[in-house]
Amino acid sequence: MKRHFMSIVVLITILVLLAGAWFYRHIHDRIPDTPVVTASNPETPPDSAPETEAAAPSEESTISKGFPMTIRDMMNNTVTLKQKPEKIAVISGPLLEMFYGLGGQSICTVNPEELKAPLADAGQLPSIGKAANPDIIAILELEPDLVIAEAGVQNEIVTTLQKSKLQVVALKSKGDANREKSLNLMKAIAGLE
Amino acid sequence: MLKKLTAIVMMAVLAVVIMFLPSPAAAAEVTVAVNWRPLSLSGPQPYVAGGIVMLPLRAASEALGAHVSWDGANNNATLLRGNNVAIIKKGGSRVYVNGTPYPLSTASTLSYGTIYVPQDFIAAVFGFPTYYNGSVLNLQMDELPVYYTKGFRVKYLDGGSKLVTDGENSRLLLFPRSGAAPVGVVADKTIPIPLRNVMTSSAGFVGVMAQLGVLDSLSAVTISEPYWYVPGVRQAMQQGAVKYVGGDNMEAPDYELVKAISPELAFVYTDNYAHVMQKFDEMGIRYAVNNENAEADFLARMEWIKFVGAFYNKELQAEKIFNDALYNINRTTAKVQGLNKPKVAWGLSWYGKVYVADVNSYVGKWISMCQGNYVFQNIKAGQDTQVSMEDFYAMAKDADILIYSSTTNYMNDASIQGIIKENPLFADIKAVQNGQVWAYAPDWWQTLHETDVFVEDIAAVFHPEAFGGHQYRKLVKLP
Repeated sequence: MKRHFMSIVVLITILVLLAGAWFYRHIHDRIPDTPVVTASNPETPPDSAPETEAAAPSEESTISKGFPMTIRDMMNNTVTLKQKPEKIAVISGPLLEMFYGLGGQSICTVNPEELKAPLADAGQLPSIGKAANPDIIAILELEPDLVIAEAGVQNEIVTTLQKSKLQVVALKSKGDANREKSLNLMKAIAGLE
Repeated sequence: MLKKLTAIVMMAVLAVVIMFLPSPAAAAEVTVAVNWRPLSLSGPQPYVAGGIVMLPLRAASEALGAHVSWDGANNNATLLRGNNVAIIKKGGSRVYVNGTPYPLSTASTLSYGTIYVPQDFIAAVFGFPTYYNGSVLNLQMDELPVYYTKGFRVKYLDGGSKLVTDGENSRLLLFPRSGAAPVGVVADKTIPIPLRNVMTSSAGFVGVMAQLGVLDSLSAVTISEPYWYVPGVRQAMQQGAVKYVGGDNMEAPDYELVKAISPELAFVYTDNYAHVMQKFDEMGIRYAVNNENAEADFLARMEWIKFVGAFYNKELQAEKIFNDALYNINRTTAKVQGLNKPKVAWGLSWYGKVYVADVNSYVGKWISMCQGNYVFQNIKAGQDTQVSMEDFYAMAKDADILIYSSTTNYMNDASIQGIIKENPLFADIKAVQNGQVWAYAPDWWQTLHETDVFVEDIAAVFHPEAFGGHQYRKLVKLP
């Protein structure tokens, strides 16, 4: 009886020790430093400007003809493109759909669930992940000539990309007036007219 | 049977012990130093692998003053240092600094829940060359990084000394109190640090001192007790540890009192203090000139917190406060970019005269960065500009928002009726009629290090729709 009892105690000890060790390693390896998920954490709706017609830019977005081309985008940024961009990275699902609808081609896509229908060349395109929180390094590695981003929800991302010396044009996909302006800007930038 | 089980238990215990033991490499102690002064790293410590020191990314970067954010979805760490951004992926063998990739000698690794980077990461991101002598990894910082201000500089000399250039281009040689000042350095003043006995005419610096944990070095101030809102100052004044030496009405301090306190350094402004500096020269009282108020950019103004830090060997802590605030400012300004711009008037009436902020001042930058449309854009005469009430009214009558540039505790009547009483023409301004009149909170001038809170409050006043439930701390809506 005593031997039987000892065996059970020993077995429980082994199990507890192993479980503790596994838990420690497993959990710690999943938490690099003190994780600080940025505001654009895909699990949390990003704080952003209201996506309504009322939130349209106060100053009309404008564009000059030909290259070099100067654009005032929908974040009121002024962007000058010295020449026609060959590698355009569109990093928002709705803007991707609009761009492809015009016959444009992006060098990247977003998560498939953020698109209403797969893009024609989606199989060959690298993904930059969720539009609300794209992989900045994946975008940098693509070395785009121009990034087209969504004004409002991607404002913080635009700021980071600009600090990384990428040219970014911020457009809007919500609201008929905004869509029309964005389509016109896309056409001019990519020479799709 | 029991013997067999005992053996298994022993093996399991051994396995667990091995699991928890640091690796042999990690066991080798490495001290990280900046200019051969030890740098304290919290949490996981550095280790050596293949002759290269591996540093805990977050702890090392934060100790050097960077803001670090972690994007768990994409496994990217982003460092913000002033106008520089560096991004590295967990396991990545290159770091992007302002978009340019820098290859690293070895890939970043995850060890015991911490991302480690090789020592050359520091050179790539911070610009500090590194040298490992087998026990100490030294990071050579020749000059304190500044990103926006041109008003001061801090250069590092051997032995813990530094040469600070202040707001009047005076060269201040700071040397460790425990040693002697280095010889052969051309300087206007020589000052032992860390400071122990300080007078300041800068309320903003007092807030910074509190934030850096060096308030106990404060001996004299030029604002009397009722006007202080920095935690601990009133109490210190009541206990006699901090003396009011005069200055509530911009008058010169009581020199006899200053002489009795005999501060080893006084922080002064150029404005209104030229005669005081002359007198201090005669009295042999050393001073450092802080001209943060003359900065044309609010980020440059905030950067003066590092100037204070240098006198306490806490400039890297100040750098961290600066970059953390900058991170918040970037988020706030990104949030409002592209929104409709309200018309903003910013000024006050004082004994029948109206003063407005220069569009090129840091106030003008605040307004533009927070997406406001400043109604006094064509007035560029000086830092604070006096205008006629008629001109003020002509330009401000359609303003959506009026920021009344006085702290509420200095106003005779901190209300809309109060400012109308001060000047009846205010009554016809749209912002006044709509109740959109704001004034400064009492601690406005005492919290330079909280510039991010100022920016968020201003942005929230301009764009309340983007800041639901915002709690205002630096601006007060007048009743």
